Order: sequence, then structure tokens, then C-alpha cells
Amino acid sequence: MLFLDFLRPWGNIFYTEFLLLGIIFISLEDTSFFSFYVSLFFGMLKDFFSLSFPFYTFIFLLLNRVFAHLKKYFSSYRFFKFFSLGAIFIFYTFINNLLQKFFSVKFSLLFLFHSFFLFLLLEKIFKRCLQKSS
Amino acid sequence: MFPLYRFRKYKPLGIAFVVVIFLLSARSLITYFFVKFPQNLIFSPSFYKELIKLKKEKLVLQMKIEELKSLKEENQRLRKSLKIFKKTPFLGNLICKEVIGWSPSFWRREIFVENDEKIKEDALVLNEEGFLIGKVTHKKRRYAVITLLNDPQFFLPVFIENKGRALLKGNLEDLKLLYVEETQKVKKEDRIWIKEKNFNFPIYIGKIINLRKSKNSFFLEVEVKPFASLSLIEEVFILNGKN
Repeated sequence: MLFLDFLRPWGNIFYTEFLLLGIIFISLEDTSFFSFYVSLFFGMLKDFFSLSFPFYTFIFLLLNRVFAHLKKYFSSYRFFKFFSLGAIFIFYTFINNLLQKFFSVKFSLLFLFHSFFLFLLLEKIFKRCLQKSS
Repeated sequence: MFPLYRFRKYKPLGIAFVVVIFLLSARSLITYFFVKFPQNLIFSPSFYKELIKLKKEKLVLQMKIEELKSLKEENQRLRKSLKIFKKTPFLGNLICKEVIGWSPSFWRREIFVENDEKIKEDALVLNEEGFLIGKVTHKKRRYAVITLLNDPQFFLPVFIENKGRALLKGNLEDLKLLYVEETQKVKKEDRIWIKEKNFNFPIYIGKIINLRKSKNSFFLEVEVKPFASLSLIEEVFILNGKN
């Protein structure tokens, strides 16, 4: 996922960060400390490439722990996943806009919709792959 | 006497263990009978070896064809660039570098290229058509970082045709011109350019696509569209500042 962000084979067509989608996927699937360490490692790697240490490390760890707690208490609710995903994408967009002192409604909405759509698509693909391998 | 009857319940386990050991030791024999023997019935062993060799060669040749295709495309791009740069004084002062990666943050528009001693910080970067795409902002031991025009942290003083100066700012999707006054009489389609201090030659950046008067500001709100595509960049040309 980090390589997709780093190499951008499709340029800037997709308004999303693939590593963020990967971190959300692993945080949703696994609430143990394995996903915590994965978030820590990839957050640090992303900070290393984007020269912004410790911003992404902190954000990814925060996302991981927030998902773990939300899943613990609210996972029985019907639209838990959609609401939590929406909240996370809005929070992430807001924090990044603030950091770069940049604001555009069009950009933020495109990021939200593209990330939502791609996350659901990738989740389906990953789950199918996991089912096949097991 | 040793009570053997106690181990009788482990008999199936023992048999399974012996069978596994037998299968492991006789693996090559079994593979021969079930895989290689039927193959040998169809093809002779030498023919089969030749087939495998040809398959490998085919794969290598396919990879070479792909490599040559990409080299041909690169060659065409560079030839086109050479034709364009021949008409400018920059030829001989450009360092061509391949893009090795992008900043993984979607809120930044930075690209990484391999470092070179000749590359200097703040050097201007052009695309293959000779339009400005950014400038070198950091240099590390192994790589240099180029900040593109549309990065939110990008600022550059520029000229608007011959109507005066303004400050160009990146805005992720398009570019903005700051501090443009009404008295400058700028209009749509006016070109934005910059002059490198060592070369008496304009480097074009983009053109004005939209401008409107703001109620709360003394200055106009001006949007600029860059001439260069900032989405898919494969090679860049860095001006090393010697003339």
C-alpha cells in the first residue's frame, strides 16, 4: 500500500492514500497489538518519506486505538462500519488541511468519496483473497 | 516386565508416523511415477528439457521486448525535449533525472530524484517541453526532493506577461497568484513566466484561467493553469545555473 502511494502508478487520479486504507482495514479486522505495531511501523515509514515525523506515526496509532475501542463497544450497531469510516476520513482530511493550511470543499469531498469507495472495493478483494488462501 | 499394553492406544499414531517417514523418503520415487513417468511417455526426456529451456528463453525475450519498448518511448521523449531545448540557452546546463518516487502524503506534491553533486537547492526544474514544474527544495545524501508547482507549500515570485509581478502559490489542484492589483490590468489567457538569473530567457509556467475581484481584499483572486502536466511525471530537467 505504501508503494502505491510512493510510486503513484495512476498519478493523482484517485483522491486517496492507500496506506491509510490499509491501516484502517487492519485496525478493523484485528484489534490486537499486532495491528498496533503494524500502524507504528508504517506510520514511521511514511513519516520518513514525507519528512513529517512524528505526525503520521501519531495519527495512525490514534486511528488504530480509536478503532479498537469503537469495535469493542459499538460493533453490534448496524451501521457501525460506515459511520466510523466516515468519521475517520473526515477527521483525517481536517487534520491534513489544517497542517497544510489548505482548504477546498471540492478536494475534501472527493477525498471522502474516493476513499470510501476504494476502501469498500479493496476490503472485498482482500476478504476474498483471505478466504481463498484459508 | 515393561507394560506394553499401555502404548497400544498410540498404535494408529505410530502407523501414521511410519507412513509419513516412508512417503518422505520415497518422495522422489513417487514424483517420478506420478509426474515424470507420464511426461516421459508423451515426450522424450531430451525433448522435454528442450521445451523447458525454450519456455525460459521465451520469458527472457518477452521481458527484453518490454524493456526495449520502454526504452523506445524514453528515447522519443528525450529526442522531443532535445529539439525544444536546442532553441533555448539552457542546453548543456540541464541535468536530466528520472523520477524515483512521490511523497506518500496526498496533501503534498513532492517528487524524489536521485541525488547528484551538480544539483543545487532552489534550482528550477523543467519538464520535457521546457515548462517550469517546480524547484529543488531539499537535498539528502542519496536523493533530492523537488517541490512541484501545485504543492501547498510552494511559493515563487513570477511575472505576468509584461504587466508586473506577483507571487505564485500552489493549491493542490490549480495554482493561485497572490498580490495582483486591479491597476495591473491582467486578463484571462495572460501568460505567467519567470527568468532564471543566469539565463536571459523566459521560462513559461502557465496562463490565467480565472480572475475575480474580492470584496474583502485589495487584491484580485487569480487562478492559473500550468502548461505542464503535474500528474504523471517520468523525467525532469534541473537547471544547474551555469551559463
